[in-house]
Amino acid sequence: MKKLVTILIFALSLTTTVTAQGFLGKSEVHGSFEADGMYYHADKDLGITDSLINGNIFGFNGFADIIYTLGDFSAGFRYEAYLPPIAGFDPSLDGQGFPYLWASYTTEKFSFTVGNFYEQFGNGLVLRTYQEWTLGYDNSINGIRIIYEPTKGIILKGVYGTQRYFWAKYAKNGRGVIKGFDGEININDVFGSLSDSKIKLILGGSAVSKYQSDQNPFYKLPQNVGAFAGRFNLGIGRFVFTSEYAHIINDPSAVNNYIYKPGNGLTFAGSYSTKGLGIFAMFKRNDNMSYKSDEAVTSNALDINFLPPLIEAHTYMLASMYPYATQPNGEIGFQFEIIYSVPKKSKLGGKYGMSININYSQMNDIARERVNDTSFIGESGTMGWKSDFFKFGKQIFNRDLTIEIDKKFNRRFKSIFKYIYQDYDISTILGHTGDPNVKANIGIVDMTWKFTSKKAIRWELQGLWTKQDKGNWAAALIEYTVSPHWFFSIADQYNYGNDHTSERIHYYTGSFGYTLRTTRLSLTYGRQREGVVCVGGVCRQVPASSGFYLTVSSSF
Amino acid sequence: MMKKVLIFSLAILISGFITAQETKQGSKLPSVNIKTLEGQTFNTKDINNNGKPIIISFWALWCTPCKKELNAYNDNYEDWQEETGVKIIAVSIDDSRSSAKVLPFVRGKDWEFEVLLDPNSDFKRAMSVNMIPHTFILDGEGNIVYQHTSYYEGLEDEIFEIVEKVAAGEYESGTK
Amino acid sequence: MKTRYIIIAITLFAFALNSCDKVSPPFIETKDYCNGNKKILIEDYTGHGCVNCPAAAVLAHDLKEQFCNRVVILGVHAGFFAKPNFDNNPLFAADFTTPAGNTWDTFFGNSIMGNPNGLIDRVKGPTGYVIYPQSWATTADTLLLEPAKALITISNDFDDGNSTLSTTIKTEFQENVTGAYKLIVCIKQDNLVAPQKNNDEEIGPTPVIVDYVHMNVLRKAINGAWGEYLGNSGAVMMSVSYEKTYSQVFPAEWLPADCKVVAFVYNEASKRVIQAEELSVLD
Repeated sequence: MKKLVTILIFALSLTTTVTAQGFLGKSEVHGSFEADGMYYHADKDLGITDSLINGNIFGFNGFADIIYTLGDFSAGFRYEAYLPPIAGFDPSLDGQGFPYLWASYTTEKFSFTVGNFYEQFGNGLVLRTYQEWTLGYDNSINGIRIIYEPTKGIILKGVYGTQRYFWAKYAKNGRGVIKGFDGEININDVFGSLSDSKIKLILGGSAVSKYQSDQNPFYKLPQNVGAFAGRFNLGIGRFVFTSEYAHIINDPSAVNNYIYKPGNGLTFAGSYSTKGLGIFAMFKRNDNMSYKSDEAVTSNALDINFLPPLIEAHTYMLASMYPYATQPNGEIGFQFEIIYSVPKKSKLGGKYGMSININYSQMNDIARERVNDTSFIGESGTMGWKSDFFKFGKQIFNRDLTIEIDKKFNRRFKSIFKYIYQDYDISTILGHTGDPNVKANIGIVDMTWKFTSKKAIRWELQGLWTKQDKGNWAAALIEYTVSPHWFFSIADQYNYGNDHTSERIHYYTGSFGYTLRTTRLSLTYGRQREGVVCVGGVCRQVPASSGFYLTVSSSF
Repeated sequence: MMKKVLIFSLAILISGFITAQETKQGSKLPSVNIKTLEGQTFNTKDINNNGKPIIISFWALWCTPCKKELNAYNDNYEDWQEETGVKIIAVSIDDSRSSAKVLPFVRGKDWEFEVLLDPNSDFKRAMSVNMIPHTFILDGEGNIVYQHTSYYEGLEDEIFEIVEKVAAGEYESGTK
Repeated sequence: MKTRYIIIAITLFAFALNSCDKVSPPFIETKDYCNGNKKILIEDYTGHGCVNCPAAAVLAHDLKEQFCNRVVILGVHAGFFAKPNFDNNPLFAADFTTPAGNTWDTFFGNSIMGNPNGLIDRVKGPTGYVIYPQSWATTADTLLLEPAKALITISNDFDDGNSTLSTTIKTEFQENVTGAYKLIVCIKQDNLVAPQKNNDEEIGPTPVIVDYVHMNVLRKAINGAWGEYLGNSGAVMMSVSYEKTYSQVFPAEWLPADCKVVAFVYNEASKRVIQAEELSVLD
């Protein structure tokens, strides 16, 4: 069977490229592919004694996504294969099939989709289905979606269906069925007299409900769990304010230990933007906001809503060592950022100007109190806890201060300087129970020297200094690029400050890649750090690995 | 199983190279509702530059090569516009983690081109974009004549060469 | 006109399907499980390096009580978190892994799914055999409603002099079943005191409970990881008593007073366990 499918995909790939020339005249075909393969081998220093990770010598993740369009009608599918999933991906992904299959009819005022689809209501606090290939995350709804725009400025959406859960087909009394409705009104468009006003206002509201039959023998579970949200987006001149408040009626589940308290969430963001200066501030609070299709699932799947982590996303090697993950049962925090461009030709800015970026963000636990004298905080089968809305709890989950300076010295030479201070609750977030918060100073220098119009060398030096967890790290990277096709790079992360001398290991990698328009191929060889991923009360080991990693991707 | 994996990867590689070389019939933009920086709904069918070329580039705040590419375009934008009348539209795929930060960031960096928000990757998906940065060049009739993924220093020169040819009506889709 | 119909259709569609329940206390329900002779097997895949595992052990114990003792618990230490000298820490020198446990872990895929997790009568769920603790009660509840397809009787005879156990397992099928059936017989031990990582303050000190009492620890599958056929090549008939006797010498660490014999019968093709039973060694 698998052989047949592989041959089918091979044939399909060739035929679609051929038919892309003029199938039925007015219709079009386009799509994208990616294949990621990882081949492991033994590595004594990392403690890997054989070449098997989870019993496999290699991992393979691949997909092919095709879209057909003919006038107002379009349809498509995605074929996915994890044979087996690469180390670090949820093992339940093992297998292959067509998890995404859809057809849609869209006109100016009306859109009707049947099959799998991705949709977001507002900021996603009550409903967001999306796909993230690099994380192996896909919670698409399989059902129907209707979008209707009765007049300019009013958009109504209705959705109905069940969510994807790896490869498991939907079974009666299995996971829940979702129904949702969202309405958005653009006040300036609806009331024509206001269309030129300096004040721009958009209002929106959503109502979502999931139905799952109560199969739990010990808890009386609500079969229909409703969630509501209201939002606004207000622009006044240079200021923009946006906010969304969500309320879940009661969703006792394995994630919150079967408590019956309602969930509430609030995000509020404001910004001031003018030429050369941007100021941003955001406040966020989640209290018991986990909302999944199935009350028994705690892994990273079947989320109906989306709770974004409110911190600066770091991409440099050592800056992403301690990543924050949203705590759905409760968190409260804020973020503040200034982006400023020092003008060109000024003393500090020089000929090309300079960009300064400062960000401070903090997330704490919420302050919880016992509901009454007989129940503990978080005790199952009770109302859980009471919590003052704006009060910060004592435990700091994460806070960081980031200062970044981008400067171009001359036509050939530019650099980025970055400093981060991070205070990270490794015990709660990564499940290293009992470990104290990691306090780390991180410094990064990233320089690029363009020595011809097409060739450039970029190098990075990074350091992470901390007294906790594994101690100090140093990292370096050199990358040579030849536009528009080639890149070569080598990098190393060295845990030089580890208390155990045997664990002072170099995690080196070497890679090169070739790009031809939209086709990209890259091959990496080296070591990857190990980790323990703890999601919803279950810890999974992501083994350290050593070997080859090949990625091929293309779109047409 | 290994053999099947290799066959699959080979299929992709071959298809990718074939499609990259062959002349492709220009396709127009799909109709997707995304948002402007002020939060207003915007339909991609309304992307228009009065018969002059358009560059559409997908990026995100967390994508460093994307920001480098857009900085390079920004440095040259005035000259490019004077010569060809090209319009650059940068589509951010930042989701609600950071989409509210895109406006102050773009103003703070003093980027002069138009920026749109695609918070649930609807436009990205409809354009079959996989990895970012991914840049498209459209001709005066709104047909996609060129696309490229990844950014290397100096790529902006090649992009501009193509835009010049497109503006002069001399560019044949599929060449280069 | 057409648009009006569409508006009505959409609004009706949307609101008619929206509904919400608000549950009022009491939130906990109780059921009487004491009528039934089927016993289920809960295998708790665990390890001393697994911080969330003490909670799963407590849950298994609570389920046994709530299900009127119709549960046989087997604690299988296998995988990454059960490694001796876990985290290069000599505190975790204990080795509770067994060849049978490792074989089952590899076959059913428990430790790659992350611990704690378990197998309930080795039934297959939506994503495979592995069932996480939060679904144990729901899965067990359905299985306990079924009548027992077979009844198992264990009789033990322990000789103190040469520390040898002689155990006889009698299996009688209550209905006609098709397929090949096998019997697995194990020894498990309670009251093994060894350090265990923990993150639940209500169960004990964090991050490690130094004198944690491990219960139901699988020591050995005395007739092999996949057991032996009942009758001729596994084909069985109703009202026939299939008897098997085994002899096992107890090493010093296996204290007879703390040990039990666990026997379970399963369908060879589906691996599904149809009945389980346990009995103390000294009974």
